Amino acid sequence: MKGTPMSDDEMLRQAIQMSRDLSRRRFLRNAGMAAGGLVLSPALLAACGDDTKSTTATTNADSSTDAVRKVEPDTGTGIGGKSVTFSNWETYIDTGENDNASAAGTTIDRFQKETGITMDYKVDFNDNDEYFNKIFSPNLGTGKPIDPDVVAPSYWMAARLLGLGWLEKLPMGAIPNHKNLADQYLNLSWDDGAAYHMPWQAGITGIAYDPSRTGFEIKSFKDLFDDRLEGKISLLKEVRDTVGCAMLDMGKDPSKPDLDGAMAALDFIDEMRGKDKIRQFTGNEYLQPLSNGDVKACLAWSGDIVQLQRKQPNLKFVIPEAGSMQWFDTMVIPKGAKNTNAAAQWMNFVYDVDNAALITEFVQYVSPVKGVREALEAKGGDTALLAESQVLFPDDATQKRLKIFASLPQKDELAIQERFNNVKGA
Amino acid sequence: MAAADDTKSLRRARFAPYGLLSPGLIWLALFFLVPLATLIRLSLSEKPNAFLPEYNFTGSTANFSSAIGDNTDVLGRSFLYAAAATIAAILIGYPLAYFVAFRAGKYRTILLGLVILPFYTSFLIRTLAWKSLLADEGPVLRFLSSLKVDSLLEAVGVMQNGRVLNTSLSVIGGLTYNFLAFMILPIYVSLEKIDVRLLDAAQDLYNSPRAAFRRVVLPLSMPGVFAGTLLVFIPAAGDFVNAELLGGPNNAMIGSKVKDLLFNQSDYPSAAALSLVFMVLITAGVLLYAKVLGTDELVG
Repeated sequence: MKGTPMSDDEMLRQAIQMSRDLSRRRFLRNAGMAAGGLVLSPALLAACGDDTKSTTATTNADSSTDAVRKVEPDTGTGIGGKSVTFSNWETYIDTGENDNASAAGTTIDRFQKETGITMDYKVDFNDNDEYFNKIFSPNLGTGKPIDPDVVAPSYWMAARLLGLGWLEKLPMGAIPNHKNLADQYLNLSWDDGAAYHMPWQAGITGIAYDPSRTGFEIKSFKDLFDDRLEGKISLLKEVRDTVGCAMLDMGKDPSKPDLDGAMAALDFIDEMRGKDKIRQFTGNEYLQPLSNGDVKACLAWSGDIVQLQRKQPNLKFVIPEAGSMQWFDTMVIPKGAKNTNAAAQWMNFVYDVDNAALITEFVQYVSPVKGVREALEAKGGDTALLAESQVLFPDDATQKRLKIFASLPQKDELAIQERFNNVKGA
Repeated sequence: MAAADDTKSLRRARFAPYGLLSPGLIWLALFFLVPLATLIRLSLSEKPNAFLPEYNFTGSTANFSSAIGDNTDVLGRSFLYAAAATIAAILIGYPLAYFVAFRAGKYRTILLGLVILPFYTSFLIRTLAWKSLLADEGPVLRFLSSLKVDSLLEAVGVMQNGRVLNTSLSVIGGLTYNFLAFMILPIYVSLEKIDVRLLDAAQDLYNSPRAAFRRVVLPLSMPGVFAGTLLVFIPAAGDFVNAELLGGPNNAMIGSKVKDLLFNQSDYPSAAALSLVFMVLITAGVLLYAKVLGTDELVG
């Protein structure tokens, strides 16, 4: 049995992504887009693919928003009101004609028309650490406000920002749809009741493997270190995913701050590295080794595997019995933002179930909004099939096994990161 | 009056070289000395809170001792891999450059073009291509196993655990491959300058071809080897792409460490100290190498 070799296109795509030093989230977004195109209607597929006329479309969109700006009176009741800037990850929202996120009929376009608020949608959030060191820390750290009114960092970065006092409290009065937020986000230790953030999209970490290659079923994180897989497995460079899975396997709960537990998990991973069990620590680069057989099993992200399964139907994605990790990116308002009211209106808009369903339909991530599944079911056709996806809508039993990594005190967070860096590149 | 003019033109002449140098000097000052000074200052500072953009200049060398103490393995490995890649590049590059310079005749230009040709493809794509070629079930290993030599290769350490990828060898191989042209070209230039009549003369003086090579060609080509060594060794030691793509968790190099310190740990002072330690070690190594080779004559 030889593995399916990667096509040249796949290679090139990976290379280009590597060269941009993509983070997994951004990659997943692209993967999700491609998957979306395949599952959904041809019209959407065309929308994903064709970007030849994007300039014209942008101009049109701009002129239409100009019109809105002139006609609508100032409806703002908080600070600002007429415009809002949102910095998000790439390909993380529905797009319309010519791949334009604010083309007619898109979420942004409808938001602008309904509220009279002009949205400046930027896709300049590529990497949590990079954005933190380049934008958040130098500005917010010296009391200077930053440009965007809404940013969507990953949950742990949002927790860090809140801990540093760099976030504005959400003006709840303007966000009645906050009630639609799924329950598991309401009791996070770092922001009980979600008063400072509203999740944008979420995803799942699990184990991907091909049973015909491993020769046995993988059920737990420990199974990855079976002698039969020596040097044929990879773990993730994202510290919270890898350490969290190891902690769960050891019966520890990563959703509670537990420095000793994390360090014990790291000791185990370090021991396995020393025994040459772990071939690599990867970002999304596990796709190639997983498809050509260099890696027989690995920690992986749901969105990637759903896409790879189209080429390798044998591939399995399992959530270990002991549980696994969930992650999410979340909307926050940075301290000193100029347009908090417009930002709140935007959050309210995308937490409307139908609006959220449209975004899910397009980006194919786990939606943090209650009722999206039912809304998709109601749409019928191909869209209703999405509602049955375990990866998009894990059932209650699965959801219970998914944990979100706890927010730790800064020195513990850094200690774990430092130890992990030494383990993954000793 | 005439005397005064003379002085003036003399003075002008004395300053002319500096005037001509000034673009280069300004460039160096702005883009090398100023950043270097910032780097040194940063390395002697502490960041009381990793998440806040505040640095206190303390003059303490604690960052240096921890940079060296925590990273001895990685530093050692970076220099070892770079040295191995440099030696491999000389062993492969020298004969190749020799052939192109002396034996290629009218094909010389084409062959030189072929040496540079891989550079038309991105460094990353070439490295990723190796990853496909050397995959466990890829063409190279399939061929080797069909020859039934894999157990032999395991025994001599070329293969580990049925694989070539994610071993020291694949990282060194990747470094050699990616920087080979920087060895070939300077050696070629120094060989090409050699007057072939010197070889005739050496043979007239009863030198065997081998002795002629050793006494004439090799010494005259040493500046090329020296330049090539610098061009390969320095970037190879600092490279992290090959280690990240072709290596495993036991093959990390210094570039990855600096990157982790900067971005994951927001620890700028330690990253600065580690970079400086690396720079000093490289400079010391180069000076030592120059001293051993006696390059004062060679370069001049």
